[in-house]
Amino acid sequence: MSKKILIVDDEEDVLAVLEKRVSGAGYQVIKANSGLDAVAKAKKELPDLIILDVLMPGMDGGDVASTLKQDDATKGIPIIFLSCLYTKKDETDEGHLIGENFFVSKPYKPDEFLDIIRDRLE
Amino acid sequence: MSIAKKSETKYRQTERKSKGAYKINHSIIEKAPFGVYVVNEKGSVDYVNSAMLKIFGSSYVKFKSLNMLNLPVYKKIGLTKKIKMGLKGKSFKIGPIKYSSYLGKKTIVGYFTGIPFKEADIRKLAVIVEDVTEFKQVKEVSRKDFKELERRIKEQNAKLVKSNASLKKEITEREKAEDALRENEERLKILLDSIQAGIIVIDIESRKIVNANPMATKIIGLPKEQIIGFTCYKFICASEAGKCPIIDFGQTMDNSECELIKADGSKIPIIKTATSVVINGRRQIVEIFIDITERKRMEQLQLDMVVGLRAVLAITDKLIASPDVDTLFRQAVELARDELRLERCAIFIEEEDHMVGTYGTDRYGSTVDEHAKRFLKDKAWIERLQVRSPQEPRWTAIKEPYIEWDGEKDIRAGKGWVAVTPIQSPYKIVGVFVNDTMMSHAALDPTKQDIVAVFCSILGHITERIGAAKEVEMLNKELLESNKQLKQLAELKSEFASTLSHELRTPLTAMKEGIDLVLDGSTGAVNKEQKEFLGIAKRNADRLGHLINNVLIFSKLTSYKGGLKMEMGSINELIESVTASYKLVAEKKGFYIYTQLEATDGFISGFDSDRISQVMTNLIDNAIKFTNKGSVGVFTAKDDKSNSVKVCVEDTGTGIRKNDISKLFQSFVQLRSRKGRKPGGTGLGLAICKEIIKQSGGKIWVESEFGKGSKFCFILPVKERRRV
Repeated sequence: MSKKILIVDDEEDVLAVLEKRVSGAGYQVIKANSGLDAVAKAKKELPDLIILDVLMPGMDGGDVASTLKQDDATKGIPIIFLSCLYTKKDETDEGHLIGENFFVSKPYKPDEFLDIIRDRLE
Repeated sequence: MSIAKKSETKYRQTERKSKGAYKINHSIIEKAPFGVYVVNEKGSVDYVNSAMLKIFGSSYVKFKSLNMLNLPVYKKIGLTKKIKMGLKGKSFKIGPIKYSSYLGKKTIVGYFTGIPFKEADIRKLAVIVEDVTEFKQVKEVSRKDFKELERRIKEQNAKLVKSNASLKKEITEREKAEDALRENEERLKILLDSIQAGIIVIDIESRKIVNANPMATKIIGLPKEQIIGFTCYKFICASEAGKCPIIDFGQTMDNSECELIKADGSKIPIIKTATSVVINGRRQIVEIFIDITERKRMEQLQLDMVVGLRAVLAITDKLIASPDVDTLFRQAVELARDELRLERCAIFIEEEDHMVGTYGTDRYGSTVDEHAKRFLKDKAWIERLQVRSPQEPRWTAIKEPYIEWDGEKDIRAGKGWVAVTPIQSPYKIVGVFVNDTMMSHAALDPTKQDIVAVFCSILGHITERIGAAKEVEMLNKELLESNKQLKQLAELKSEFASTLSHELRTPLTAMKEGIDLVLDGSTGAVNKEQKEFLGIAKRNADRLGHLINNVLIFSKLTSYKGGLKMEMGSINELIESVTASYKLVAEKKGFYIYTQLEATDGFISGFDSDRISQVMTNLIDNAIKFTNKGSVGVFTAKDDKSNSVKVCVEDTGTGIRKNDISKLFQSFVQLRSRKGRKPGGTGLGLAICKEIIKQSGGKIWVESEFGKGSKFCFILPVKERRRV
């Protein structure tokens, strides 16, 4: 059975292309367009991985992650943060582990992005 | 007689004898005409006889209660001390003493005799008091008689003396008159001799000097004997022979300033008073005169000082514009020579104990630098001249011959002077002005010293000024330089931004065009999903283009080149046209956009219609974006007082939190805010609006209540108004 991935972004356009990319790689995709939506869906669907936008109005990516970490059911779910603010090493498109969190800069390179998803799911 | 009887008799005899003795003694003392009492060590009375009580004027009980060591009456006459001594074993006898009896009822004259003794090993003192008052009174009375007699004799004598006195008086008065006469003469002579004015007496008939006081002889320079006999105009008012104000013009008095010819032919200025008098029936003139040479000299000095200070002032005017210290000193020495007539003048500049420069010139125009340098060969010269720590310009005469001044003797002769200025500037000026050797005066006169001191001090201040001016100039230069650099940087920045934006737009155009070509079917059939994703790409490419545009506008606005193009136009027309283009969008979202415009009564000159359109677009765009129900209103109102037009865009949207209002108009705020990102924003819109309004001479602000809506307003100045 294919892995379940929750993608979160407040921009519908980004959500649309992300969905196409991730589902095209053979994963089952659940979409959320806000922080609150993301927490609700994560608890309900218990996805195998969450791809989380950092900058969102209202509840942002960080808030979502810390809320999920407080719940035993969801705290083990790996998260990939998608951030366009992360510029320290943006010459490379590899993800970066900061603390427990994995960051991927936007825009991402599709192949490498899918590799990172595979890595996190293993 | 039996032995027993015998012994009994003896015993009785002894007893009777002893008892009787005591009784006799006691009664004798008791009835004695003199007072007796016994004092013990504590000062209290062990025994007192009745005579004592009578003398003292006190009852037995009262007397017994007294303490003889602190009896005020006794203290007064010094008896207390004696009693104290007596209790220590010293006998005394004093008197006759006048003293008050107890309670001061009467005055008593008495003798006190103290006899110390021991009773059962305790020291006591018996005091015997003899009252001799009455005896004294008798004596007094006889003395009175004697005095009366004496008085009468004296009276008799006095009468005699008196009669003699009138006789004597006559004699004395005559003597006195003679004395007074002699005294007066003496006094007058002393006065005339010691007075600091010359006095001569002239006989009017002959015009010859008949008398002269010592001062007159001193001033004229001839002994009295030689002066007497000369005509007056030999010495005084020589040029005015025959024009004597008193003899020839009949004046009784003459006050004038004139010259006196001394015996050696030299002339001195005097001030004189001539008075006509009659002495011994002869008409004479008394001429009193004072030598005013010193006064004249002081006046001249004062005049010199004024002239000198004027010269210094004139020089100061010339020197004050000196561009640098070097020029200043070169000019200063020359001006000192020419204007202050300092024939040889040098300025030495000292910097932290080191001579850093010398300037000098002499009256031939040749430099005295060489001299000066030689003069300063010895570095410790200032210390040796003791002109250290000068608070005020100070002069020190160079008196000791330790300084080499080749071929010159003046310094050795004490003719050189040094002035040191109290300067806080980097330099300390030490001016040395040396008098010319040809001059007869031994040294610079005090006036010149003072003038040069002032000059030196002024030089110091000018030096300070030049230093300060230099510093200011340097700072200004630095400021200008950094300003220039800042301008260049700013220009570079905006240049960079605009170049970058253009560079960004080029690939964007190609991207958009490529997407369009695929989308419109030019490259073949496109399925629905393809169309959808190409749509996303196209939309976001457009958004990127919009963003780049805003960056470009903002950088242009904030650069020096991005001025506004001011044109005349109607603000209402502009607002109508912008609002009209949003009517459909608003209707699509389900609310209305309306305008309520006050007639602005003509034209507003001085706004850039493109830019103001941009502001309106931005504000209306925002209002629609954040409003989901209700309405968006656009208003204009004129304010005649401030001669401006106010434009507002009001919505019933989400509103803005108070904390965020202040950040609202800052550039890129939206992009950086953590939670405030809004769909489609560049974060530059309001920053651009603010910049445009600011550059148009207006003001923009927002009033908002979170959850209820916002009202963005700006005012634009109306610069010209014309009736349509």
